[in-house]
Amino acid sequence: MKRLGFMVGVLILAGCTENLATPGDCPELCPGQTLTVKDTTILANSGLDSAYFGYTPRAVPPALLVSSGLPAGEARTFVVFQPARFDSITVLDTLKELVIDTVNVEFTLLARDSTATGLKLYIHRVPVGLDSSATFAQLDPLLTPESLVDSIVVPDSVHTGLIQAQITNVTTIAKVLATVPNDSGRIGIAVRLSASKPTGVRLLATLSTGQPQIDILGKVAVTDTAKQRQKLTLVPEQTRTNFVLSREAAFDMDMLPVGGVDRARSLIRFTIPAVIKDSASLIKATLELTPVEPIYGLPADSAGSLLELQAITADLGGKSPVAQTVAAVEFRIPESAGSTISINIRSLVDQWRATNGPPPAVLIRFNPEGGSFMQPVFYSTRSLIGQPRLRIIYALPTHPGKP
Amino acid sequence: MRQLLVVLAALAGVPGLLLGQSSQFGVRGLGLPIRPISPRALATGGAFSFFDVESSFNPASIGGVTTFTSLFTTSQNFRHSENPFGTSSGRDARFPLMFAAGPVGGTNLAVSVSVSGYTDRSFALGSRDSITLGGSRMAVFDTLSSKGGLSDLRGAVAWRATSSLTFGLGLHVITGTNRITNRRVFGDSTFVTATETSDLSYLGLGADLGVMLRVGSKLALSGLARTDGHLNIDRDSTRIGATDLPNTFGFGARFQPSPRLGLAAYGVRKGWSAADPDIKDQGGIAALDSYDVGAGVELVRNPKQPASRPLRFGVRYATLPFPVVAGKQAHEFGLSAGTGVRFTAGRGGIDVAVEQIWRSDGGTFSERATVITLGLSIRP
Repeated sequence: MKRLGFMVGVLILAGCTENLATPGDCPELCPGQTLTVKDTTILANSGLDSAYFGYTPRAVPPALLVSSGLPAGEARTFVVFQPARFDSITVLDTLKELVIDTVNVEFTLLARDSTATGLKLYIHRVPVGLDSSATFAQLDPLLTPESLVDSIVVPDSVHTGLIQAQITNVTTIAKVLATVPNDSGRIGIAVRLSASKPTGVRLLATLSTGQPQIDILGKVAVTDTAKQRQKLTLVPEQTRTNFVLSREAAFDMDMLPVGGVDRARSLIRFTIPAVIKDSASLIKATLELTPVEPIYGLPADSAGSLLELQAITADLGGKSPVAQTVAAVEFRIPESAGSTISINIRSLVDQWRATNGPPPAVLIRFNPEGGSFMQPVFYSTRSLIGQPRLRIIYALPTHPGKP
Repeated sequence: MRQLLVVLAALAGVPGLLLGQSSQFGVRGLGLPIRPISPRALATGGAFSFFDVESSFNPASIGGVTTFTSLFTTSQNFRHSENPFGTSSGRDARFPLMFAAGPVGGTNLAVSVSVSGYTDRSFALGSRDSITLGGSRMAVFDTLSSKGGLSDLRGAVAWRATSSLTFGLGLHVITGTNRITNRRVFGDSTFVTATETSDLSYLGLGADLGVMLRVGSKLALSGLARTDGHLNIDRDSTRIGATDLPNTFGFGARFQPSPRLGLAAYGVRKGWSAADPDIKDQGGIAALDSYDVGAGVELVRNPKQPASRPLRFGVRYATLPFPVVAGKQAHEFGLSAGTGVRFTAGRGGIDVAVEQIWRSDGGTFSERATVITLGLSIRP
């Protein structure tokens, strides 16, 4: 009895899995055809691809760029700090004189090219009137040896995080903190870069922990020894903290720019054939975009080279709302990409096929928008070459199950 | 009767499970035919199925039931297949028969309900190829898989006209589903697997008549005639056709020279060629008449307890109705053995049958299978 019970148990457990596989070939053995796979290319709807800009204010960049010799362009960053009185400080409800002995100029490194060594950020004093309308041609001539106050050496082992110049020299401190009477105690600085080879860095911008700041440390004359050491922190003015690029892609309505200083987004529309929309099994859908010129960026900066392709819920041109229920397709643009790039947007195309699904259009934006060296511009349907197109590989139904 | 209804309700809930064994010879037509017989009958090559009260083959056989009897079977199939495209080993588990029968008190009638496999069309065919996409070759891996088949829901009544003559009538509902999935996997992982699924559903009706005659004290004869009408076939809820099902004729003989020894033999012909035009119209290869013959022996250790650890042996040969290659009718040859025990004063029992089956189409398709079937019978 026990043996029989054991056998029953074994057989029931064995029944939990099965392997039905047999080698075969079609059509010799199959009761039906193998799936018919088709490969077709669809051009974007002619004249209906558009570029829009101004989605985020230029005055609030998501990152600050500094470069030296980078093919993507020369970049300089400037920071104007909010008005502050730093010769005195309130301690125990009494204004006391602050005898400054140390000044720290701090930035947060977001990205760098780890293959470039000997990075050094030079800090210059610049006028406080700079804002988002400043140009490279205006700022760069101001970065002279006379305006140089100090530098930040970025160790080769540091790829992200806090970097700072600690200034203890009295003369240098005075130079850093020197103010002009009509500037309301504001300080403006600009940053340029040198390294062992052409490279750049991205620094954290304003409105987040780790934004540029100046820490002023010193002593006050109080009896409480715990309060003798004091610190003042200067924080940047949001609209006067930005960067300038020597090479800005011009916004061309006949092309499809994405990102860049104009924060451009492009909308490309397609018409999906009925056979694909109704009955095909979608295998792969690749959007092919051809850049007008090589897309230069910061080497090894994966976070600064992201294209986001999104479905929209309704086609309202530049104000088309993004379909929140459809996950965006992300694509990292290879550094110096000069040939056609192919992006698998099968998940978006699959949604286009759904009943009451989003319209067959893809909205392309850059991330970080306005905070990257990359300024991709692609050919449009109005171009003679490199028009955007969609390559779809799909399978047609065969209705298997012949007897 | 109440017990029968309870069992019937339970059986109706699990028709999809009631299939036989998967095989490459079940790829075509309606699949591999299934025999609705108990482990006891299986162990004797099917020879005792004409007389076995726990088999759902001959409606007259339930005339011998003296108390409510139920049977649940499970089988494990281990298979090795060879064909021109390679070899493979596989296994699957099935529940080929659920059966309940009992006498109708105060009459010479007995009734039964059962759900069993009719054909099994579970298989998976794998192949590899390469196709040209965008000017370059890409490896593809195709799998055509099928799960399901036909089940046979039978209600039967038997009438013991005399002590030696019993008639049986069975009504059958043949139903089932067959989910066929076509899948193509690409060598490039960025390509999503292409999948297509079709659901075929079937419905047909059938009836059979059986007779069992005892000649003297040692010999019994039995005959069976069955017609299954035609089978309606729907694909994804749309009618795509109908297929005529076979008429079946069979006979069996049992000889019991002593209380310790029973011998039996049988022969069955199924007119599957009736389905041939329909099968061909629907894109199949062919449907051919099939024959099934077998013989078996049961050695009883204790005549007072004949169901306690008997030894059963059988041999069987059958042709298969649906060729996998045009012009080559496949056949199967099987050897079987088995035994069983009874416990709790005969109220419960377990029977086991082991079959070794060789299938071939006489050409390049062949298969070897070992099927272990267990049956749990309860007589409350």
